[in-house]
Amino acid sequence: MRRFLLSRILQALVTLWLLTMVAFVMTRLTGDPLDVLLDARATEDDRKAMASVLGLDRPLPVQYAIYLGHAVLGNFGDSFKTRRPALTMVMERLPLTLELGTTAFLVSLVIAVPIGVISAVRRDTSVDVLGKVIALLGQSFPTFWLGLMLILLFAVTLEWLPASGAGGPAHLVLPSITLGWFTVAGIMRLVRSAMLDTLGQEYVVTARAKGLRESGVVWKHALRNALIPPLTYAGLIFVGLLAGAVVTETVYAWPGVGQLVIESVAFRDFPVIQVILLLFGVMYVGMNLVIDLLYIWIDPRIGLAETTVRRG
Amino acid sequence: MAKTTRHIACVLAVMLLVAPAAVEAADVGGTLTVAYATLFDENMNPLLGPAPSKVFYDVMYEYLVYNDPLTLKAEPGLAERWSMSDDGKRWVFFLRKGVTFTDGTELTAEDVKFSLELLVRKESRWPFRSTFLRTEPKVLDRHTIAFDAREGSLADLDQSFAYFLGLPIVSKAHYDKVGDKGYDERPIGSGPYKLKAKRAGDAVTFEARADWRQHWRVGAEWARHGAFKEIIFRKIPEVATRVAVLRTGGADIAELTPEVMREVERAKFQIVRSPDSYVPLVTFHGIWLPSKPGYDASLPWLKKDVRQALSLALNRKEIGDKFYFGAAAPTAGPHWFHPGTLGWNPAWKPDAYDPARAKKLLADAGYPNGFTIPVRLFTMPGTTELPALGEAVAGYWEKIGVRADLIRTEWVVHRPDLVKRAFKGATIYRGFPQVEPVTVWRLAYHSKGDFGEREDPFVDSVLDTLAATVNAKEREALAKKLGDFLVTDFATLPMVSASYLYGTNPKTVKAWQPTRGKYPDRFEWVVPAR
Repeated sequence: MRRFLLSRILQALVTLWLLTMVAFVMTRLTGDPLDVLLDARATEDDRKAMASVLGLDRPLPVQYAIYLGHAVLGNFGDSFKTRRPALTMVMERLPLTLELGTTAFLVSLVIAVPIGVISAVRRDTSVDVLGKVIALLGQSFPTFWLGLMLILLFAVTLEWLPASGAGGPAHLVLPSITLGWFTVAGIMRLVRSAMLDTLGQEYVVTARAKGLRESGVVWKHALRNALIPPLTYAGLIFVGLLAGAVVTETVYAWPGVGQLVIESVAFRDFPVIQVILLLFGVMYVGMNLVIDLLYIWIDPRIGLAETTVRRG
Repeated sequence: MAKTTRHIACVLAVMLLVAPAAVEAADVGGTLTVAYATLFDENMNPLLGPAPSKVFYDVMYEYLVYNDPLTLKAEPGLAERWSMSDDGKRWVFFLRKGVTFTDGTELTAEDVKFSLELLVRKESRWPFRSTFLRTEPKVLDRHTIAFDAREGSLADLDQSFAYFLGLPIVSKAHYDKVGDKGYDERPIGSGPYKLKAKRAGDAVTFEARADWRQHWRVGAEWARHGAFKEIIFRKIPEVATRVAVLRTGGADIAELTPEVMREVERAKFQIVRSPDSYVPLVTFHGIWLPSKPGYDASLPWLKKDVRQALSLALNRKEIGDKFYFGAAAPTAGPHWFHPGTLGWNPAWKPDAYDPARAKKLLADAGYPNGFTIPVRLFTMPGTTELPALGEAVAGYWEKIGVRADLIRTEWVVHRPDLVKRAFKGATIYRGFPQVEPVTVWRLAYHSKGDFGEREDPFVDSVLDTLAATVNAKEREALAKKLGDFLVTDFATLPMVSASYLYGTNPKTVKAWQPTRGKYPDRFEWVVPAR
């Protein structure tokens, strides 16, 4: 078990190191940030002065070594654009993205799980079809379009909710529906198929034979067991929601990391882009690690099997 | 007695009725919310960002000179007057006395000198850093500052001192106390507003200074018409969302694009235009001096008649009416020449739409079956429609047999190719009015300039003479000469004069006039509707 854990952590560290390298090289392939930082009227002297200030006048491998050395100590450099620490800039936006992502995730679960369960219980009926349609609509609507439609309906026409910005709970409603609805279909289908498997299990048949109420059988006994596969998958969906909030944040002027990504890419703000990529990399890798551990917790044979295979 | 009492009562009643109106007129209260596509760098310290592009700097900082929002003529600011020596080697500015920063300290020539020295530091992104490295600021007395040429003369520089338009004056004493980052967090200026709060990526809030009645620039005007106590600049990247926010009362002023203008008008909001903000146009590349390494004499657009044909193929009225939804009108003049600014000739008229004549010109020039021209398309801040406009241009040219090979790119990718003279073809670009555009003319047209839009020994000689000429009339004559040459040469093909558009809520905003050709500004002059 310890060996398994260590091997997973080592893999995660190697993945993150590779990510820093890829992020470093890829960002620099996009062009010279001086072209964006400086005005068209800037002279060659201006460019040289700014390059030396930002450390861009050194060879790429040297730049990378300096970056990595500082990053290990938690210093990710200053933003080219604002001259503030890149990590601080990302961290001050992260709570808003977490807030939006978490709410969207909850919206997604609240819609997807009941639809998945009902679709499984009423398999191949009109209710099943309706459930699938609702779920698939979220995936079919472009997020950009859906966001604008919701704004027009609920903010402009009905005047129920604010059109944009981050503030109280009311500000969260439209962006979280926009972001969360997209992932409903995936979770719903997983819940549905897991429920179909579970509903055919012997213990469910036994529960029914004992005369338990159908709602108790479905929502208590069957659902609890059926939720394990979708919930582990949902962990990755959650990180995906955080990383994929770019469009929703733009439409709703939500000042989170998603908008920061766009600004930073447009500005070739390498230090900020690198922090964001690393942050989401850590989240994905961390979530995978958690899922691996969850599987072992659920089924200890998995960890033992891996260890045996490696020894064998 | 009773009559007297009634009389006094009447007078008192009238006074009571009138008094609130008088107080209301002078009221500084309420909040103005401006929805804009970007907050730029969100830096408050001029050292840390490209100072002239900050919409919110104007409410907090002040400048030596201002310009009239419509004519762009230089007007006194912190400097009551200024002069250039006859030999063009010294500029002198005489500062207004009694101007204070928001901490109550007086603004002096030392602050101006310090502000300039700040922006020429090597980490500065100020566009005129190199220009001011050529000068040496000298404090002559508490309210007088001179800028001496370190070598040669300053005559080639901007005669109307537009270089000072974007130089925000910071407090030296405060800066010495708090440093670079401290000034970014706790900036002070001499403007009518001071920073109240900011939230990264979302909003910046300013509050009117308590002593606004004594403020040299806005005091009298605010006392007459009132003003907003707070201004919030909100970043809302998507235009449809900005319109929604305007319609739901979340913003009082919103930056618009032409396609949403009708919707905003239908919803009974006002449209404010910054007239003649910019001119989308076609620029040609490859018309260089034959001595240049990349020169190719076989390029069809090297011939003047071909360029004229390409111009006659453009239906400018249709572009204004359909593409810009009526928010733009046909215009003339070469790149970086605009009505009311140096070198403009009122006799220039837009080319008429005449595809038949265009075809004949092409045939006479040896291209009866047309040719293919690479056209690079990219967006620029404030003019994101340029690539789509390029597609419209390609459609017009196709009708006369010219095939545009449309290439999507970015300005930052395209610009180095211009400098290296590595691109031969056309671009869909834009020009906007500048108080005195000699610097951009040199960049655009001089054979040693960056962009190579029309190289010619005559152009070089006019530009070089212009750089050495101090006399304003002689400069105007030279500029006209250059403009006339470029117009008759069809060096660039201007299409329409377009306006930056803003929607305002008539219930909260009574009047506002942004400066022509600039990002929205002058928010300190917004007159509340109350």
